Amino acid sequence: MIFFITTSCMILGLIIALSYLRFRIDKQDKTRSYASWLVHKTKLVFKISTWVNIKKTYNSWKTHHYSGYKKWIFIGSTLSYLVLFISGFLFSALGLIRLQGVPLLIHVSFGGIFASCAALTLLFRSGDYQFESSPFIISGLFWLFVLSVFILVLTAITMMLPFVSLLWIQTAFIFHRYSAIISVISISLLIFFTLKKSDNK
Amino acid sequence: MKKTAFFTLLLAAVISFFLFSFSQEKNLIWNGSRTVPVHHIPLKDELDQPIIPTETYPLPYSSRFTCAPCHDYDTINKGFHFNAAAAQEHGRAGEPWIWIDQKTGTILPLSYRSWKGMWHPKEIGLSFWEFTLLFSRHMTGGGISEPGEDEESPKSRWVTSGKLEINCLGCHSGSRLQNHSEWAIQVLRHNFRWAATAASGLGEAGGMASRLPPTWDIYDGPNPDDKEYAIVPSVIYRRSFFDSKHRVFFDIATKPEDRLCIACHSVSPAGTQKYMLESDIHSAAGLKCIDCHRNSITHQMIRGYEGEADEQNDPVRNEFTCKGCHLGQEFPKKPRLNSGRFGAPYPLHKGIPEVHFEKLSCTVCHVGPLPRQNYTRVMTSRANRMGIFGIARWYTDMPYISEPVYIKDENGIITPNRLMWPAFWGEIKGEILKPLKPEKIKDAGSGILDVENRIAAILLALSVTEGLEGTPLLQYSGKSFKRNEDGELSVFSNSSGTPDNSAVWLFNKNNTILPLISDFDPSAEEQDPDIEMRIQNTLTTLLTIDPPPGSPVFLHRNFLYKLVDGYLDKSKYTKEKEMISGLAWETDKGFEPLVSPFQLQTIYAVTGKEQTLTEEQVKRLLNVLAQRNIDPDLNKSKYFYISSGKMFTLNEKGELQKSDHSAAAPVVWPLGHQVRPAQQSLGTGGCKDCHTVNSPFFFSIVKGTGPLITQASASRSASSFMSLDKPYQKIFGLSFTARPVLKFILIIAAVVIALFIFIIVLLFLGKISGLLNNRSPR
Repeated sequence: MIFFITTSCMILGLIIALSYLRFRIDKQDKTRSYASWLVHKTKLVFKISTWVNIKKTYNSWKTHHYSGYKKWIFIGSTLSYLVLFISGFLFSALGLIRLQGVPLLIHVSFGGIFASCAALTLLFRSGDYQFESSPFIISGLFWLFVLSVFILVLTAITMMLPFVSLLWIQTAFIFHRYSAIISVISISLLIFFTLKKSDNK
Repeated sequence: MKKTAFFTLLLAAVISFFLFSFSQEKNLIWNGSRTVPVHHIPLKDELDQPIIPTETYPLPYSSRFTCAPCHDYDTINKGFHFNAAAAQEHGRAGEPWIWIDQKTGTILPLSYRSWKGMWHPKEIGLSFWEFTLLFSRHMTGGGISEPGEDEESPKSRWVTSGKLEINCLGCHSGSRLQNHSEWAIQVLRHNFRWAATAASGLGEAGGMASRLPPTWDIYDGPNPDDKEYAIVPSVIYRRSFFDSKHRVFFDIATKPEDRLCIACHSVSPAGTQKYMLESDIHSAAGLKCIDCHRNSITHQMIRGYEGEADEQNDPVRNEFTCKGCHLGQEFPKKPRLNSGRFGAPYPLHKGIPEVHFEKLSCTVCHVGPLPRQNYTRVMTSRANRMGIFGIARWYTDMPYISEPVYIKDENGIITPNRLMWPAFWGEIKGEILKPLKPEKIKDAGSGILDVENRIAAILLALSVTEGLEGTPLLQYSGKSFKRNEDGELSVFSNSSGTPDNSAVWLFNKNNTILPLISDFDPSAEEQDPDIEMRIQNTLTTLLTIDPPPGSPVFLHRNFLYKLVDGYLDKSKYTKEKEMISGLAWETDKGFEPLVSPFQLQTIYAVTGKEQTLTEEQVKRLLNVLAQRNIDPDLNKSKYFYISSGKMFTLNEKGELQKSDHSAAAPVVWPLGHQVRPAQQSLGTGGCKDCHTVNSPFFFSIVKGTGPLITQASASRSASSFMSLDKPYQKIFGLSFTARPVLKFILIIAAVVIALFIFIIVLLFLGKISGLLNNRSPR
């Protein structure tokens, strides 16, 4: 229950914070109040054009940063992360359905894909997130994300290995869940600030 | 004056009430001493009179009156071992009493407790008397075996046998003389009131109350006129056990010893040698049954399952569950600091995902045999009548009990169970289904169910044929049958078959098999007098069969031999269309073979096998039942036989048809023993102990078993018992073949990510320490 409340608050806080930051950036809508702006943007979520734009941005990012075979790393990491997010948060954290059975199988399988893609991404792209070469907030969020992914992978292994006691498995599970929240928050903020930086350019 | 009398009476009543309450309470309160009092006490009989062993015809001791001065008998009589018929709450299902009748193919699970799948004895019309006769071999006495006067049924013989009082020493004796077999033998003889004395070794009981007229009671005393058959039960006490004041030393074990518990609670894999058995890990560690299964004077045993504490409203019971001892109660997350009872080892459960602890009971991984494709067949004391030793064979092969069958219980927890398939004859009237008592079936099944006995009777008759110095045999289709000591048949040999598949009568003389009547030419002018004598003697002995189906005759090559006024008469006869030769019966309908094809096929199918019925027998008996009015009130009933998980009925054409029915479903009860060492738990071999494509845990099949030889037995998969999706479990099991790869990927990924984090940390440290800034390019 504590985890459910924490998760809900953090995700809600993230949505509010990001939307408010976006609201402040969005110069065209300065006349609108935050609430009406939020309603307006929420409506946009249900428009196809919005999703077309998201796809364009996604493709442009992929083409720009992941040339050739590397695009598969990007596709693999993003898709697997999305699956992990859905199976992890919707099924487990929000308590809709217990993460077991087929969703658990999917979660575990895509966990492996994500971990390998994350490691490869670090190999090819970590240089772009050095503290010297990019804004501190972006580098910081990136490495926070990497750290959370590391804990996620480590705790996943811990839960699978036969020499860890139940107590440690339970502890690892708690760490796994909270790391997942941190990873979601960090990646969300990272995308936000990265896109903002691109807009500014 | 009246007022004074009234208040005097009232005062007396109040004082009596308090005194009574106090005396009752006194017996229930422990005085704090841990010692076991020396039980050097006078014996009392059922009339509450002291027993003097030197008296003529002393009565057996009565636990009700001998133990009563210190122990509240009536309170004890409400305990778990005695209260099946009286209790309101029965808790988790336990092992039923299984009524086995091999002849009728009855395997009927019974219980006075309201446990699923078990029949209440009242539903079948079993009285306390009948139930006691059937099962007191493994009962403790008391409860239903000691009914009040108003509960006696018409056929009961409680006056003659006496009530079967609680056999306190059956559990609490510390003496090696305590003999469970003696108890069983005495109750079988209806010597209820003598059973405890004889079993304890305090005295020797003789006589048989079962042979006495029902009007006999102990006031009648012994019968001086009959010293051969209807001998009145009596007891001869071991006088050396008594002191000069006629007090006896009772070697009492306050905590019952395991050897006495397992007299009724043994479970062993079928076909295993005793020396090969392992003991429960708790026993091996020095614990006794009573260390966990405790009770106060109320004898409300702690059964030790999860949820018992709530059911009984007794939180202490939580301390005696698996979790109670091994995890403790107060600090469940601090290993080694929170040991439960006896400081039981705290399980680390390395590598076991938490979901297992939510969905499985402890016993799934730790108790019973490891899961196998065909399950393990076990025999239990009470079901298979084990633990009673004597000349007669007491134990039975049936019922077929399998374990461990993992079943999701009403709380959604998977637990290991023992499973048996019921088998019984019954009737359906409207919506009501009712099993029929074996005695009713035996009556209706005369000539159908007693095939073996009938042929054995012929062999017995032939064995006394004058001049026959050997054992008579019946050969059919390559099998030779002989009569055994139980009046049934044994397969003597199993050789290549007789060509015509007809019955051949032989005899075994010094291990040489010879024809009973050698081949000869009856039309020859000179006849062998030995052969004619053999024919005459054989026909004479066949006359002794009771009742003979007809006149015995011998048919051979168009000649008929029969007895006329005790002499052999030979005459010619024309062969009938269906030729019969050899020994036969001459009846009103003509000639019938000595053993009919149905009888031959039946013995061929069942003799020497565990199963006792063929489908043909079932069909014939159902026909008889349908035509016969067993119960005048139920003449519109539809009759059935249940075996191997199927219900067998007759269709409109009179053919046997099989169907599923809830009454044919298997009966299950959870098992709590035997506990294996932690190193042998399910899962110590890794996830694949259970999670594979063909793991016995999920995919083994339980096939219906029973006394009927049939191909139509029911079968159920392990996953269906657990309410699990079989295809999913297959896929899930398959995923474990790829799991090592996944682990490898995760480890590599974790190492790579860790290295990058390490580099970043190093860079960060280098930057804040100035190490990196001060480096100058070469």
